[in-house]
Amino acid sequence: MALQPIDHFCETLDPHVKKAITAASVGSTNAQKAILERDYPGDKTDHLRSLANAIKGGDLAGNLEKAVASLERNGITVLFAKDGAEARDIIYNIIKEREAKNVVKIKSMTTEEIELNHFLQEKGMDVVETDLGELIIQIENEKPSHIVKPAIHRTRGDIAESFVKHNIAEKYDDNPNHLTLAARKYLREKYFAADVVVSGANYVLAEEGAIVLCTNEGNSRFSMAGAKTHIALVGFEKVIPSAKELAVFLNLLARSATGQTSTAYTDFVAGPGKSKNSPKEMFLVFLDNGRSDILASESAEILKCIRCGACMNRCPVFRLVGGHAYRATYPGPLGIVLSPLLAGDKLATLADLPKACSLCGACGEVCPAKIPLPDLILKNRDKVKKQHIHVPNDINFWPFKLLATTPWMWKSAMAMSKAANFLPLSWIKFGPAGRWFKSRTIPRINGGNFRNWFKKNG
Amino acid sequence: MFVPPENRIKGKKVNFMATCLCDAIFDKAAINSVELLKKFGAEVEFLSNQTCCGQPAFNSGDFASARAVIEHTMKVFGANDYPIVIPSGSCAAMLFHSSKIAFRDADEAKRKEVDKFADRIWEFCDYLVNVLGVEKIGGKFKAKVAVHNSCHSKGSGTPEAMKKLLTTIEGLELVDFDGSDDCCGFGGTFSVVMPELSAEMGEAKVKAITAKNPDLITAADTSCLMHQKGIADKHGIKYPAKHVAQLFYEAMKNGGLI
Repeated sequence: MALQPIDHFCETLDPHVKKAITAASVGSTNAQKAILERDYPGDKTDHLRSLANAIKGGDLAGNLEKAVASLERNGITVLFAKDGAEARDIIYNIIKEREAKNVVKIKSMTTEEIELNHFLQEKGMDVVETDLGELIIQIENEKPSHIVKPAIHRTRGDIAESFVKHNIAEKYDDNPNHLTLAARKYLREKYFAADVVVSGANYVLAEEGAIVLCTNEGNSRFSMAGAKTHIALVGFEKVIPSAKELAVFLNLLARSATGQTSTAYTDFVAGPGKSKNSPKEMFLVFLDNGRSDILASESAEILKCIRCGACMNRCPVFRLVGGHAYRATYPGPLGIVLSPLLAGDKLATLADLPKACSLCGACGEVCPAKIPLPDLILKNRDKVKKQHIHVPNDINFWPFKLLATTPWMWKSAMAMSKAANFLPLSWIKFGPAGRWFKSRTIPRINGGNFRNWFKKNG
Repeated sequence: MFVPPENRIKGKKVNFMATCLCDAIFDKAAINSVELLKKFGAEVEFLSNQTCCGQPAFNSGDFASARAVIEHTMKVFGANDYPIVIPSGSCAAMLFHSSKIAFRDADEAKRKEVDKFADRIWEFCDYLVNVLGVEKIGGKFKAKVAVHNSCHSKGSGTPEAMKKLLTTIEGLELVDFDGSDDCCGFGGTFSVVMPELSAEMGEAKVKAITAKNPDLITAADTSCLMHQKGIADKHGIKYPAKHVAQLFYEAMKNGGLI
């Protein structure tokens, strides 16, 4: 039986990995719910979410223009990249011009989006992820399976083995504290050697001309203490008006992502050379990579996303497959909206993604920016259909349409449907019926009974 | 979350929209719904040219087919301007919310027609409590009952109305279960487009519910129950499930109220 790629992934995923993903996701959803109910009871959470939605729905072009002026005023060189290739070249050239080789990275999904690490490594640079989760997957040459918790699919046993294999730990030890200490020791050397630090940004403050980084491990500060040059790659939708509005997002982000009141570290970087140890120069590369097209489309609301991961934690499909099933940088409900849109004219390669959703609506309920994710998922399905892209297991609806718009046919079909009770339907092994009967039975067909009853008793 | 329009049309003269599943399979749910509507004072019409809400095509992304079916439905129910009562939270949400997405690029007159149609749509329990003002079902039904709140009814008055009415039945005990807010994996065509995911979600739901040994599982949607029961059957698990209208009717009958 032909399965959609994500369905196939679900069927064949190692049960232990599946269990780890489910447990971590459910735990995060519960933590989000508990802390929001505790800190913003009643309709206060909803009020905050509405504020976040409204702020992100403001004058993005105007804010961006203002941000550029403020950032430059603070000594930050601002550059624009229209796509991933351009962004990679810009970043590479900055590093090359400084004859630098050692790059430390602060966790950034935007750099994942443009596959920066491989590009720089192929050019002979030493690129090291300093976020523990990112480091765990980088040494195994994997992609993140979650936007906030990139190693959600790996058990501590896997990590302990991997650390020995890659000389981060001397011997196998799956104690989480010991694993963290081993990584810390390994990374310390990298911080000292670093020439350049590459980060993303959670927010760009237009008024103040600063970027904001929310992290939990202190790795951002270590990275910036060692490196001489800081390059931040940022999707332009991360610009918000000012520090005043930031409060709304800081109150929502960590609560929604990890169930914390705030991340352990919130760094404000308002230009180079502000303290003795900070980088001496700073570049901010604003990435488009399809965002302008999305902004002009009916799916613009997806650009309000604050990358907390609450939607994927809550998603019943994500909980069974994890991020790798989605074959794209952004997984889960966010991903099945954003990834096909970012794919642009390569939509066909990710056209099955919007189908990975039972339309339960739960993602929309937990989204701190109140993005109507279910509606956007449906619009993506419409888009795929309009472009006549074939998706496995798609159903042809012309018979349904004909029946449901031709009452006499519909009524006769209902009256005749009882005959199906005498057919061995469960023997069907193909098509939609076959896929239904593989895991389910159907009840007795009583077609037309209600109509007859109503005629007599209605 | 699919939230119904704010000022929907109320009135005691109503159309009953049976839904394709009640038309084909769950005749008793439809019959009991009509009997209860009449018992509580509604005057019920059944426009016989009705077919389906168009949701199978819509959820699959075939908006053109969905629009054709919605057009047909609007035409049939254009025979009068009464509210339309549906024994399914999901079909109701299709017609008060999703239809607007299906027609989002249509001309203004069409969009207004779709909006106006949405204002007439009520799920059965929501209508009983919030239009007819039913406070009590009463009667008797001695059983431990697990309630499955369908995903598409969560944003409407349905869950609260259903719970309110169930708690007025003597002998009925509601049982909680883990993950009661989670989707059971039916999702309409999702169940045949993503059969493995759907089945696994369904198995988790059946397991969570049967762990509490309820005597009956009920919902305002026959579709979710059909999927859950279909999965339970395949695993040889006993899964007595009934649409909430059938439960209400039996309770009233047991109490000699009907």
